[in-house]
Amino acid sequence: MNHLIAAEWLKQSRQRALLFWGFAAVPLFVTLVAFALETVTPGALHSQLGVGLHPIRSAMRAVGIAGNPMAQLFFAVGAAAIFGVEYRHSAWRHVVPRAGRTPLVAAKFGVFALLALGSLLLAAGGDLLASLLPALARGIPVADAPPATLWHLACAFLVSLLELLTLGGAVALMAVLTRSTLGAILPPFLLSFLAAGAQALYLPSGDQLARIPLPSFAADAVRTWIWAQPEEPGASAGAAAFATFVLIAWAAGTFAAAALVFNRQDLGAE
Amino acid sequence: MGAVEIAGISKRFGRGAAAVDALCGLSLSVPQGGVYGLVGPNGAGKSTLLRIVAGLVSADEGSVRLFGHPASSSLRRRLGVFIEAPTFYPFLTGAELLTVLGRTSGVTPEPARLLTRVGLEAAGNRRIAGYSLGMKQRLAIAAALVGEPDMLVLDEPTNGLDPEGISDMRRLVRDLADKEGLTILVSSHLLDEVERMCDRVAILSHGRLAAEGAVADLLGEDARLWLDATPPEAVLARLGERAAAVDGGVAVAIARDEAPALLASLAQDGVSIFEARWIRRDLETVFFSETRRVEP
Repeated sequence: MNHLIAAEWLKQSRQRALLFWGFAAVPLFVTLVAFALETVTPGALHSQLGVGLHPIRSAMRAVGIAGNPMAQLFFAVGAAAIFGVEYRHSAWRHVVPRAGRTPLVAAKFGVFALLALGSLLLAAGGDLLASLLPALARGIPVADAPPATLWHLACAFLVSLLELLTLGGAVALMAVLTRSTLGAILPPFLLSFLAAGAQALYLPSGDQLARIPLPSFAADAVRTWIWAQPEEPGASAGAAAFATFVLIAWAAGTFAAAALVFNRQDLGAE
Repeated sequence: MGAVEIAGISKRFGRGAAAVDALCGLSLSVPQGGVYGLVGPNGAGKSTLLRIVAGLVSADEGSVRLFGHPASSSLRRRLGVFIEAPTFYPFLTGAELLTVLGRTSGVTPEPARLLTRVGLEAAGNRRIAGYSLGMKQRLAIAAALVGEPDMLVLDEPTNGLDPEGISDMRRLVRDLADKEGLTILVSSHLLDEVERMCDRVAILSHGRLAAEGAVADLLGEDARLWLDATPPEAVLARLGERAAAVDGGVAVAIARDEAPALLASLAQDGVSIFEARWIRRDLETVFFSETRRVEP
């Protein structure tokens, strides 16, 4: 499997423009916004409000960008670049006889997961640097009240990664079904946009949200639970667990469906 | 044991009234070693058959065996495949493509050796987007050779090449079969090339096998003795249905060992013979006569 991931990695590393827009643009945006906010906000405001800089909470907010529909559009572009490249260039004919079908899709999913992981790390790291350095330079106190630990950050990070994996799985499935890069991007993006709109309009509470088995609702439910810790250790723990299960089921289900359809697909003309 | 054994393969594309039968119960066996040609008119099923062998398309009925075993993903790793147009990832260089394919096959990539093998060593670090069609065809052969395959499956490898390119490709294919012992299954619509390049040929028509055999046997059948003789009427009258006027002379359907006696007898009868030579059918003649016999 490693050799397939290495092959996929080399191939994708040469699609630089698509990879930039897919996996680097969002963290870059997050970093720039953090930097702008920190340099524009007067240091005195921090003192007046009695708030210090909370680097961990700031990083948690940064990785939460994975739940933003516009950010998901960019990630979907990156995913489509990975899962749609063989259809776009009629290139399945070169690789399918060499490795079989399921391992090839699995390698693509692996590369997408690595790039999504890297993108979230960049977002968190960029946010930390962009907010911490100017704040320290201006003498703004660094504090974490209410307390947030690396465990909270790790949980927020994992939820965002899971949400991106569901997006990757959905894009993979659509790429196989439509045999098109554009066709792979639009349905998952519209779904996440509709979900965000519905959430904004109907404003369900955390528990209600968690019961809706859609990835964006599930991710938001888990995030709500993480942000409520540790003051409310029992808050919505069951709902958060169910929501986590929903995310895992979506990621695994869409990937399995993509692999299944691809295995049965005639490549008479990619 | 054949390198490829195809038994009763059928494949239909589309549904209802728009359905097209690409292959109809086709069976054939490709022996190990040598170059095996597939010829047939457009829509005869050549590319579909090669895609089924390569595992890109599944058959509705029938079976494919590779190297004596039912075709599987692991057996297909012993194939080098070049199907139809040489499409690649245009953002990669030639060397990068071969590295990607080597890693995909789980072997140590050797792009420099393969690029040299097909005469592309100077272009290895250029993006494929800038390659000419001939360069892409040669790169496709190099790609098919990645992983030291036992057999090459080549679909129209001479498409779009100039005469020199066609000649180079023919030489390369023959070398791979003769010097490196590869089995090569190749389709082409250039009958003259197939005649020169292949040891055996299958002629497909409407998804069925119209004729199959060693090229020499297919062309050697019905070989005729052509005579530039005066008066030709005397030869035609004497041999009846066995003779026909062809190209200003007379073509006689006769066994090779009967020829000396016939020539002596004609000379004795006062017929002047200025030239006598054997004429064979070419593959084009065989192709047209065999494909017309298969009903759609």
